[in-house]
Amino acid sequence: MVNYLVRRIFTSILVLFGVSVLVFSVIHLVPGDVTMAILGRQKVSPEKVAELRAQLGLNDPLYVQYGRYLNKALHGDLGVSIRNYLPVSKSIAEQMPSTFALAMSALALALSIGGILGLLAALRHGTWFDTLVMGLSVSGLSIPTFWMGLLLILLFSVKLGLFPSISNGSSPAELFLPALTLGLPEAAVVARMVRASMLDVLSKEYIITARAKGLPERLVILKHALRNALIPVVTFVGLQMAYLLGGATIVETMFARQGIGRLAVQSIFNRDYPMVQGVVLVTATIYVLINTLTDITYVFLNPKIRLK
Amino acid sequence: MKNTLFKGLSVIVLIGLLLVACGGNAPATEKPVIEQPAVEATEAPAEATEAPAVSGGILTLGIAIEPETLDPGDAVYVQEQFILISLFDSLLSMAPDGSLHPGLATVWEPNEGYSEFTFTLRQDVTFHDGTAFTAEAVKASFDHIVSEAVLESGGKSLLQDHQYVETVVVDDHTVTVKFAASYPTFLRDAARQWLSISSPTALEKYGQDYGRNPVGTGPFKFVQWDAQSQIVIERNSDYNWAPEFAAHEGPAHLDQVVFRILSEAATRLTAFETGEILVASEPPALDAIAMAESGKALIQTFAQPGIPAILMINAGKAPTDDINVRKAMILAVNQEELAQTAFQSLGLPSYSVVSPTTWGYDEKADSLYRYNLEEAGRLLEESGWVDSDGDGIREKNGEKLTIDWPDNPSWSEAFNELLAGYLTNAGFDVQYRSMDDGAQYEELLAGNYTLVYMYWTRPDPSPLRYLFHSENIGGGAWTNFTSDELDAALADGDTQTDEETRKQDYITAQNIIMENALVLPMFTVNTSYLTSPAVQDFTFDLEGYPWIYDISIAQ
Repeated sequence: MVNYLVRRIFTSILVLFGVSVLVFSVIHLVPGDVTMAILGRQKVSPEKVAELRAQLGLNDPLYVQYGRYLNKALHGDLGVSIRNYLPVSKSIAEQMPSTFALAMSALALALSIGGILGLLAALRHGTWFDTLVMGLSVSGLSIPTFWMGLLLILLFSVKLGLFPSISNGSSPAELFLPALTLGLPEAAVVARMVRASMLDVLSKEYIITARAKGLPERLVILKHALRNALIPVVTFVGLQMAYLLGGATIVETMFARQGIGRLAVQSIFNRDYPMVQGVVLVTATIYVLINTLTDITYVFLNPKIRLK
Repeated sequence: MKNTLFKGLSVIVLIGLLLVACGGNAPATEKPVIEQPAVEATEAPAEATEAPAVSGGILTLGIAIEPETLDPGDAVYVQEQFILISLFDSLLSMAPDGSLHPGLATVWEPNEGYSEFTFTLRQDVTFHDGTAFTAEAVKASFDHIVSEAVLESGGKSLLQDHQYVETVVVDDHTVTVKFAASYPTFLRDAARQWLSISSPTALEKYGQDYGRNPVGTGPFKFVQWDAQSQIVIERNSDYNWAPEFAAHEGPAHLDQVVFRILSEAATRLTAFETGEILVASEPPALDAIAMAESGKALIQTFAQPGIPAILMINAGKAPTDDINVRKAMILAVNQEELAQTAFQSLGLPSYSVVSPTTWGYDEKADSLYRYNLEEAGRLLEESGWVDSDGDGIREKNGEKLTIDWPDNPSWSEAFNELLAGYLTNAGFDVQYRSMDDGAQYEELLAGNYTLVYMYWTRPDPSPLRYLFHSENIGGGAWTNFTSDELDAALADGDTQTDEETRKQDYITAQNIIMENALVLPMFTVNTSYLTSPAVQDFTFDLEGYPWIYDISIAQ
């Protein structure tokens, strides 16, 4: 197992390294001269262009530029926005909590709604309830996030006036609609996963044994079946962070919330390259870390791997 | 049986969802209420005919783009001016009719060559941080603009282009601003936000962070800026130096103004509908009209002065080096239909290089071209462009009549397809190439273009010099057209101090430009806002920014 852990961590570091190279290349892959894109249509003197090139360090050989970039990044310096001259890491740090709150609440909603529905569907396998849950989950998966959000806003905000259509803080009222928008498709997937996993576990021999032993059904389900059924769900949830972080972009834009998703979109529109690089790097790092943690957790949960 | 029940329930649920989604207000049949405040105001504001303005309340405005800075000396964009006019005052002020009035200065004296300007300052003004307003503040503000701290800004261009030398503090309330070149329009420019006055204490204290901590003398003071979310300003209760053309005196009516940054038009509209914002900027035309018709909102529109939305035509490259081809392009486009289709009743067609609400606008230049597809065809045929193979595109000597249009669609998406359609109708082969701003600029520099989209909001036609003087060919004067007469008129207009002569210069310039068919005019750029009926006295300043100082909210 230690072998596996070491390999896993090493792989993550390689991936992060690769990400940093890609992110670094962004500024060089821009069509047209990046200084022109930054300075826009203004009548610019050659001195200003040269000044900006020097400022961006574009005159040194690529590997020197990369080395400098990596060194700074490892020290937490992700450069400065070329639009408002604020440090990129500071802007990202400011916007993170909002995205985090949104993603966590969406995940909580998804796990609770999806988990319960999936569990019940598995227990009532073959009934109309099961079919209903499966039908709803297909819709939940198929409906695009922005459309779901619009419908929810139309119903809860405009018609019923229960929740605000634009939000910013982390109070339950403000988070509810955005979290629901982001979490419902997620809940659909969780429901299917939990149901499938439960059905698989319920057909196992040790469940039959437990019942034969006379254990109350409640204990059979909750203590034996569910615990084992949730293992694949844990892995899956880790992977879904990618969806949450990506989907957060749309939800944040729709509800005009602060967050790194919206920051990414705005900085792309503004051609704010250092900011785009910073956001992509941070997001990728978070994703890699979560995936690594998930894999490690899975190792501990699954005795089969643990004992290798 | 359970199956049937389930099916029945789901059908009912689906119908319910559909009803929710589709239910809306049936469109009424009355015309929407659109307020078009005239740009020429009369004299001092008339007495309000309704009840006196109520004090208090919070005005929430939904704006589309977040400013990059609130340092007026570092500002460039419209979204910054929007907020800066409430936070800062300038030495002079300009009424909606274009007339100059006292601002922070009560008397001003230019020298004969218009290179030195002496201002006598008000003595009763304080900054939001308590610093007294003195000549020192003027010097600190202007020096800050030309310093290294500011990389590029509207103010910096104004000062540097006219070779700013220094600001001399004569005494606490007298200051002289000096330039090495003649700058006859300085007094007009000194009335704009780009040259407004910041607190020297704050400039020093905040340094590079001043853009996030602005301190001025305006009717509102800065409270906070939550990045990507909102900017909050509150009433300055000491304010007692409003311009004489304002509708009232003393502090502003509103307690607080919240500028909520809502980049999606749909989000702004929804937030307006739920009452979360009271004013929505740039609403989608159809939705705005629907809301106005139902009585839930008023539409406030302002036709911006300056250069309207035009396409500059490359007169230095085939096929548009032929004046017949250029004239045919203008005649092939139905401006009225274009404006109507793209912007509904909120759009106005434009037929000249200067918009009708601009000082110095000339009707004669505006009347030269009106949609005439037959005449367009006749001109093209006269030059030998004929559709010989029946594919709808004209050719000459085996070459197609190709129009090359490199463009960033995010600026022009409301109309670029429509426009291409009109030109194609007349037999042009329109090659629209979608690209980034940076890539487009490179194409312009390389000369690979026939059309360039342009508009420029300014109270007067002064941008014409940058766009059409031959000194800017290769970087700004994209029409590549040289005329001594035009150059002379533009150069004189820039430096002329006599108003009548200056107007004449610009009239000459407009006529030369239109007679030579150097631009394809399309529509006037309008700013429009949806306002809640609770918002009173919503007016625009002369550049089309909401004049928040006079706004009040009915309680």
